[in-house]
Amino acid sequence: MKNRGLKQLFNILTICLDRITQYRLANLVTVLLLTATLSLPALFWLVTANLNKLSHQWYNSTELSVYLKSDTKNSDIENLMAQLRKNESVADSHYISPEDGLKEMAQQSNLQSVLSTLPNNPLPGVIAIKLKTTENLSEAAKNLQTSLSANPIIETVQIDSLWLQRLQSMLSTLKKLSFILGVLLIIGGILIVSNSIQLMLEKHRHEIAIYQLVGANSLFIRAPFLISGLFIGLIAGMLTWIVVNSILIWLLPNVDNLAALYQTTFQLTDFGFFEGLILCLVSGALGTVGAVVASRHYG
Amino acid sequence: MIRFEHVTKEYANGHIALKQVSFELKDGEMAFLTGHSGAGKSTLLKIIALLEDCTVGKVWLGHHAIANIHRHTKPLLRRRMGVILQSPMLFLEQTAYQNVALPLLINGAPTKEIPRRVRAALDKVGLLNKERVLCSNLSLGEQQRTNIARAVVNRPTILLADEPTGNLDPDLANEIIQLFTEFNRIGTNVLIATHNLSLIDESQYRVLHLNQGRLVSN
Repeated sequence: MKNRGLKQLFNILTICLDRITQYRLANLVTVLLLTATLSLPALFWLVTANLNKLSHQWYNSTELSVYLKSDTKNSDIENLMAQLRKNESVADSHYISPEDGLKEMAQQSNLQSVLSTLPNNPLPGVIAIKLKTTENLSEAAKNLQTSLSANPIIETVQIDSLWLQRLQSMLSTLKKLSFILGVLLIIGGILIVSNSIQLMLEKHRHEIAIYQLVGANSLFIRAPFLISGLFIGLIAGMLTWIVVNSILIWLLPNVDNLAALYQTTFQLTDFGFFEGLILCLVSGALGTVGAVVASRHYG
Repeated sequence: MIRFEHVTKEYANGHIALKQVSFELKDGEMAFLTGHSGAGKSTLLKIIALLEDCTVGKVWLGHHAIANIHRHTKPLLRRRMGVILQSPMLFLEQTAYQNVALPLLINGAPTKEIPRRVRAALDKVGLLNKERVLCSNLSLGEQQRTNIARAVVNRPTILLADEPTGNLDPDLANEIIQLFTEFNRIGTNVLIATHNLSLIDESQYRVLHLNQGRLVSN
């Protein structure tokens, strides 16, 4: 029985390889179509993953800006700084005097000549606070904001990561969109392979009739088509992996340039071995499902 | 045993190929099926070969009612049949040997036994010297004989033949019928659809005559 099964498997594989090489061009077109279909959600996923990573990187460096009242005494500032140093949620804090603030503003904005004409310094003293990275960073920032706001020497406390929260909310929408797009394109992929296998089945109608006539079971008849679908899917998965990583390599200098401009050390997430393997498996499964759909009449 | 009980076959386009056909072919019996073109001979054979379903009525293959046979069991039953259709159903790009070996490969016959059995079948139809010739290079008659060799190579219990001698000269036709009778002698049910009345006249076997889908004489 075992030998018989192995013999059947060998026969099926022989027929399958013969069939794939017989229709090289048609199979190549299917592979390329499937690659194009898979590349879009794969790129979408990568963009989302990278934006997510970037937002987390920025989010983890959340800062609070504490604006002091203009008549605050130095002793009160020192007391407040001492309190902040003792606070467990604070990683770092430093005071920027109105004079230092004006200097920095003049350097960054190229408005030195305009600023020098001002009769007095309008800037308040500011304490920049960097929080320790925790899972509830947002909550910790809000708690600190509330407790500091009660201090009479403080004019206002501003959390500098509100825009990041908005970005994360947008990313969450983007993730849902990429999921929907992925599902739609997966269905598209199945239909592409199914259509291709359907054409293959049509071309082999005579051959299938002979196999049925001599008593071949559905596995013997369908297996070459299912394996063809699997091969088409696996090859398309590998090509998608290559295409997506090639696009990333092409984009890398621009991203590095952008990261340098923002003084960050951001590194693009690419499709590594594990992600590539998953991509190939998903693509192989797509090809097989497409072939199952196409050959269901012979089941 | 093959039994038809009031079998009607209507195709999707409305054409009725068989009307209320009833007959029984006992175990080990051989019969001829005659009738004009379009009388329903091929449809009747295809129903027995499990290649088509009947619309109304019951068909029995031994103890199995065809309608109740699971689709996964059908191929197994088909392996016990030898089916020769009117048009040679062969892989033209393969040799006569490869075509005849196919049922054995599908049935998982022992590798050592395959060459012997294929050559024996080819020898019976007079094609042993052409075993390595591609079927596309064989004449129509030779292709039909390859078809016959493939049908008998698995030692079937039911042999169904649709115009098996259509492309053969009279001598060869007689030899093929002789081959079928040899199979019948060892207990194989044989049903041969043919136009060739001379073949029928010379034989003592039962004749089923179809006319416009009806069995008019049995």
